[in-house]
Amino acid sequence: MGDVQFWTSPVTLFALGGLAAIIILAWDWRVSLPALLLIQVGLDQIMIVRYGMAPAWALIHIFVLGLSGVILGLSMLQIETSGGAPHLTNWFFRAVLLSLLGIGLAFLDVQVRLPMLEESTSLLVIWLLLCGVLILALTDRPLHATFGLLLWFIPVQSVAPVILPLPPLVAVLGSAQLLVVLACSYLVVAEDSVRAAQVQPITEVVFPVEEPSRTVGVGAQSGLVWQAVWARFSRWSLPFKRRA
Amino acid sequence: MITLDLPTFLIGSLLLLAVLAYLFRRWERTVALVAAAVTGGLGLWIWRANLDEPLHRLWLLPATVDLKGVVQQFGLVLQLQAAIQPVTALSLLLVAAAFLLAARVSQGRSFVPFCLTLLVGYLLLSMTVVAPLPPVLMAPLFLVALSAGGIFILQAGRLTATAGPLRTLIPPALAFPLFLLAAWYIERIPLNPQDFGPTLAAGRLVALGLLLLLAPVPLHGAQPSTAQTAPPVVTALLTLLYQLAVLDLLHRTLNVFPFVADATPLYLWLLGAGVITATWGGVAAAGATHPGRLWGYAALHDWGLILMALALPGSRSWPLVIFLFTLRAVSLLTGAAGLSQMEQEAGTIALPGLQGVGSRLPWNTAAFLLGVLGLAGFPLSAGFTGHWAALQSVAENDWRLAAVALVASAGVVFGAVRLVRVFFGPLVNRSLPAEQPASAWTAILALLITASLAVSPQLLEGPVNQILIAFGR
Repeated sequence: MGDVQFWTSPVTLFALGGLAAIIILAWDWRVSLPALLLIQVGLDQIMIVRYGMAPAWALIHIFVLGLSGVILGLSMLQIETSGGAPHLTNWFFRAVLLSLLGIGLAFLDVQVRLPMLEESTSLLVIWLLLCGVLILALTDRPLHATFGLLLWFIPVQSVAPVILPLPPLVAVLGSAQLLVVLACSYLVVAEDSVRAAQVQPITEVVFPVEEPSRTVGVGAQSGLVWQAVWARFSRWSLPFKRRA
Repeated sequence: MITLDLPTFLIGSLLLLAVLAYLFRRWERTVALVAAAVTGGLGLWIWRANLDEPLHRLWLLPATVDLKGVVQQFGLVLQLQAAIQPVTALSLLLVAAAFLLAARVSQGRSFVPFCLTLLVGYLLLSMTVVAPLPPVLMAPLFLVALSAGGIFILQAGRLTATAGPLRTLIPPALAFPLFLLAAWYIERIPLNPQDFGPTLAAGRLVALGLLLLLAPVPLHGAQPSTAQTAPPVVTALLTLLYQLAVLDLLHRTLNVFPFVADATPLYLWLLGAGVITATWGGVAAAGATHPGRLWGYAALHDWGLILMALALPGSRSWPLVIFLFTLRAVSLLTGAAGLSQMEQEAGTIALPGLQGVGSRLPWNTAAFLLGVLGLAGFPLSAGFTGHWAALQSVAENDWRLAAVALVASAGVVFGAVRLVRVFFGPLVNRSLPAEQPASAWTAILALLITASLAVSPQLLEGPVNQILIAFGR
């Protein structure tokens, strides 16, 4: 009973919605990943205690999100620049947009009601989905777009077993999410190589290095990303090799 | 003698080919040619296959394929039905054409194996007849996975901007939850047939989801961005495969759930989206200075016209859509053939590097330009008859919309004319090699196909009719 009260209380719902807002305001992968995990856990708990979702499915959701986090984390470890590097927007602009979104949702009397969910839970799910869309609208960079897509997938993952309790659907949804994250983390690595190529050390300007593979043809370009990743990985793992 | 069901045979053989192509990926040309022969052969075989005589003996192998065979696995039932036979064959033929172009100019070593795997995904999508949810409602989720898979070959290990491949994910990702919600409402419809609430809600959700999947403006970002940065042949192929799958999905959805069109002003939405897309494609193409981006905007303009054709009333709509899509495929692949060769030789598709390219690569430059002009429906290009027929049909309902689309196509032509001046102007990159005979002949072949369809569009009458008959079943 206490569980039901805690997980369906307005404070908890506001806290979960606030976490989504924090992801947008902080715009930093070190904040976003734990916040996404908390949102997934919180939303799954609401679905379990209030709407009778099987706890095993919540475990699967958390496992999929954890795996997504590991995949993204590995990409972040392999690139040099921080995920918080140049944005198109500052925190103030994002705060204004979030406020407009919140005011719109609160005062425009939005009549969208999700099936089988109470109004408060429906509003939370719609808020999370809108935050996901807002992130996608604010960025062209794969790292943050992945967070937007995850914020879009998380409510769908949690609500789907309640309205359509089909085990194959949970499996397909989880697989699609993993594939999306895998593709985006590949783009994260590719994007970092672009930025690394733009910021040349001064020695390379003084003693220009010929890059025949980048000018000969298209075929020669494939694999450059992985070469760059391997070079970075070797540099990153150097201290471990020395210790050994 | 072994008897194989067609889905098992198709998926098994393509996956086996993908594994072999990956193992031998260093021999790019040979692998691409073999893959083109296999996919092309399978495509022609399925196109001509008579489903009334389901058993086919395989050539040189002690096996028979059951064309009507059913495969049940993981809660899915797969079968080649008459209605999807042409779409399946067309997907295979498009992939075969792309492999032929990739044999000439590399599109990345992983292109062939990854593309074969994606093709298996698209075939699964079209052959699924039973799924945990109605197949048309599960399809958008599969499209998310297929778009994610396509990112790897679109980026192709290139050190370029990632926005294009990333944006391909957005329309299907935004659309699939709407179909899942609609599934809940559709389950409720038989419980109380007098209550129109669930029907109305499901119809609205599915219609909105379909509109998102069609990716009109402002969800169009992927098309010009990928055309600017991704390998041209991959861009053309993945755009065509995705759009073919979405058109097929739209057709099947309207057949299975006819209330979708009744519950919403879907055709009005399609018309509005088509006009905006065609107009924006034309306006943006007029201002585009990057050849790849111009190509992408031209394709967007053409796609807008297809959306407008989808909104036409009565029985004229689908024949026109199929005709326009076939011509679009020819124009896009012709453009890709030219652009990929120009990129291979110049090392870039940005304008400064391509100034004067026409003097060294005249046939490939012509192929690219004719591909772009075909997407605008310029006279004597492949797209002319399709565009003219579509504009006439649109004008019968509202001449102002046809006029807007016509003015927008002038924007694409304006952009192409500006490119002609640059391509055939003074040569900047003196180290640019002259056109090789093999490359020139491929471009000439593409030009001939385009010109033949421009002069005799009736060549497409047979295939279009076959698709229409299949769609009607």
